[in-house]
Amino acid sequence: MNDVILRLGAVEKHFGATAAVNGVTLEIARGEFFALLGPSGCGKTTLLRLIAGFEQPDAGRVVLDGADVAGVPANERPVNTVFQHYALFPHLIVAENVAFGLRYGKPKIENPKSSIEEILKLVRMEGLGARKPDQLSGGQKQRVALARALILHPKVLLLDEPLAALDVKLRKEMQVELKALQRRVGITFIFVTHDQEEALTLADRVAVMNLGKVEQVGTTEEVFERPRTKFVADFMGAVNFFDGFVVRPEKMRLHAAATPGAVEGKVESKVYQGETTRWLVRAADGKLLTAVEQNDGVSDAVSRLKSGDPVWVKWNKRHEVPMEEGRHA
Amino acid sequence: MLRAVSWLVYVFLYAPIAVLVVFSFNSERQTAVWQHFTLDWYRVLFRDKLIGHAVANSLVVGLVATVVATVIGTMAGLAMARHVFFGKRATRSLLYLPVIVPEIVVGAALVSLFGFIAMRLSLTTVILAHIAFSISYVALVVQARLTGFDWSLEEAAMDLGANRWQTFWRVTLPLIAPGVLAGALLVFTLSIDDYIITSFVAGPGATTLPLQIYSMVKTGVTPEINAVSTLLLVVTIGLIAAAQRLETSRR
Amino acid sequence: MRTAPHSSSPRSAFLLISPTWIVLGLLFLAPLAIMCWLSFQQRGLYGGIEPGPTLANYVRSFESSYAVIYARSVWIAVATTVICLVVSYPVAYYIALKARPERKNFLLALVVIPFWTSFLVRTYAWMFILRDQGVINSLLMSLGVIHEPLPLLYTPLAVMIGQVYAEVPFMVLPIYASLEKLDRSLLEAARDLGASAAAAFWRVTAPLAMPGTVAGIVLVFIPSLGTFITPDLLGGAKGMLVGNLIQNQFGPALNKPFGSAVALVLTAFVLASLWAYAAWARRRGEELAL
Repeated sequence: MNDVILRLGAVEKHFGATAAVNGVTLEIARGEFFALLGPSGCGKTTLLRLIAGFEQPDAGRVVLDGADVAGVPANERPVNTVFQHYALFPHLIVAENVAFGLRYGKPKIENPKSSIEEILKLVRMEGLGARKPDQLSGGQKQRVALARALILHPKVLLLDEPLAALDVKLRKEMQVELKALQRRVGITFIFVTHDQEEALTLADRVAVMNLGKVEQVGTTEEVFERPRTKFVADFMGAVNFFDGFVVRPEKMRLHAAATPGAVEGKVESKVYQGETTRWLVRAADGKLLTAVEQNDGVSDAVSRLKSGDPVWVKWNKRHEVPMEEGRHA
Repeated sequence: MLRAVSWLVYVFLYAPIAVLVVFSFNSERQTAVWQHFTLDWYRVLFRDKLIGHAVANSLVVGLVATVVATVIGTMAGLAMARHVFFGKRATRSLLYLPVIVPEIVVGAALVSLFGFIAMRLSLTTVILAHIAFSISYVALVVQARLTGFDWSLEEAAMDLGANRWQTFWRVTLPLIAPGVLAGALLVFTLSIDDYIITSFVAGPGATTLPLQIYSMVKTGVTPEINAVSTLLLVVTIGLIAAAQRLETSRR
Repeated sequence: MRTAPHSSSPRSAFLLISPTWIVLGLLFLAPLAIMCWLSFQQRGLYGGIEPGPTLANYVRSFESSYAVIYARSVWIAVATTVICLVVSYPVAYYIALKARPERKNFLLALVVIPFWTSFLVRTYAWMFILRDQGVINSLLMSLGVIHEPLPLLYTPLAVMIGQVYAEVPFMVLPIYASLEKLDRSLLEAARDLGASAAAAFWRVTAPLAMPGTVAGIVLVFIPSLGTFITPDLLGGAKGMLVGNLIQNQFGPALNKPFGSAVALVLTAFVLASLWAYAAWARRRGEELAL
């Protein structure tokens, strides 16, 4: 990677006896939309706070645009954060919230008033500058939080579960908006999420974290299609584990009649999910397999199967993803 | 039934105050029979040097104690709500003690201290005593105000470039101001009302208003006491109303 | 939202809390420690102190002549608490469960406001009302109902009125807080299951409002134990209380060591009551309402 904006070198952070972040090394490119993905307690939020400067690492280096910022407090780092619950100052109106950092920001802004209007326009909040935060909807608060951070032109924008506080419909809209916004401003976004679908939708690259360590880094497609460890495979929903490899459920094909090269089993249960149906099949050797079939009306014989009916499961050899040895979740 | 009992209790709570105020304007001195309206007792009051002196003392004590206790107590409230530190549990008990220990014991203990270190009783000892019992009230009120405080607001301010001090002045203090004000007001009212502790530690010439009123009441009921009581009521209720308005306008 | 920050900076915590440690250490703990030391010394001439150590002051504080004083103090505290409970419960119940929601805060404020006014003034108001030439007697005499003033002031009745008047808000508030939290559908469920209104109150409302009720009892009982100004002004100087006893020893009786011992006995009693309350609340798994 030639243009690295943020480099983490063997970063460690302990709280008492527990290692929240246990030797993380990462490189993030300028202009990238990067996701830190993992279950709660995996250390992703602590890592974000280490980058922001709210926490200082016990060991390792945090190099921001070529400068080691370990030990530099949050208020002196050219990095800004969009907080999970936005942390808008309830006693200040929207425009004052957005202007908050201008007073301290290193780059002196020539015409603060017009740049506030500009940034509010960018996040589609023009004309709402006089509102108080409690007069805003969840999505509007989100936009103000973005404007408040972006106006300072940070080298990296950190987002802590940026969409978790929104309802499903709004979340989908904001995903699109956030992605478009990131393309327009060209600033590096690093966001934390526990939602793999959100990570896949928004990010260019993902780091999957577990127990304070990075399990795998790669493009969204790589991590989804070629998980390297059992943990990543499992977290990404690839649940058909075999000896040394894993197969994603949507790569499994069901047949209502005996098929050469297929595994025979019985339907354990099926869950209709609208566009797809999720099948649980008990193989003859007792193993439980999961298959997801499109409800495209192609195979009526399969869709008529009921619990207890015999079924044959088949997959293509090239969809077997080998697992790394010795790394188990 | 329930309603009637409640109204009776409200009458019980307010009738004495109302009677007191009304009769401060009564021209009759000896009995509580209404004669006609007069401001004489207020005139007498304003010419009374002893009362003037006591009011001045009470104001000095109240203001100094309130300012000092509010600053120290707010700091303590912040420390208790925001930080984990060595001796926090002990500090919590320490803060509750002045609220729990009977006033008479606090007064006796303080006069023992001043005797032990041979400090002459004066207005200074009164101020010190009032600061001692006030800090806890401010700390507890501020701490209560801070429960559920969104600490990410402080982090957000730091993230946007403000240092600790700027964060305190621009974010934390404005948000806890109603609590600080409520604490300060509580302490000021406690201070200008305190009789028991003050009676132990007041030196000669350090008579505060409650001490003065007490000695007047002891010698007999007079319309002047009604008048000074009325003024005290107006001041305290005015202060509370002001604080209430401040608090509601902030929301 | 992070309510308990896990990263703590010991230096700023220390800077924030140390003034409190210093002031309360010097002006609260040190005085108590000195009083504790005093209580083991002997009385000297003219209020002086003869070095002890002696337990004589504590032994003396439990003599029967003083037991009467303690009993009287406890009696006043108990009576005040019981009357406050009887008077406050209906008010708290009315505000919490019967009053229109938009009026609740106003009605509650009306209970609290008198607490903010000077307690001396409030006590004086009752002297003004109850004395021989007071409002009640003047009114009754001018109406011709009576010819001689009724003896109202300087009676146990006057003391009780003054005590209850001072303490009622401390009983209403916690009971109200408990009742306000009560899930009304529980009362409807009780009625639905056949309970009469009275049965629903005794078997559902009262037990669920118990934490607030006990908190109110503690909040009224403890200050009433050390009371002495109200009985002094409204009861006349009849019947000494613990408060008077302590005050006398530090004042005219010139016996600080004995006064200290009595003060510490009172403090121990108060702390023990609170400890019992805290233990009760903890056993029920309640938040302390104090």
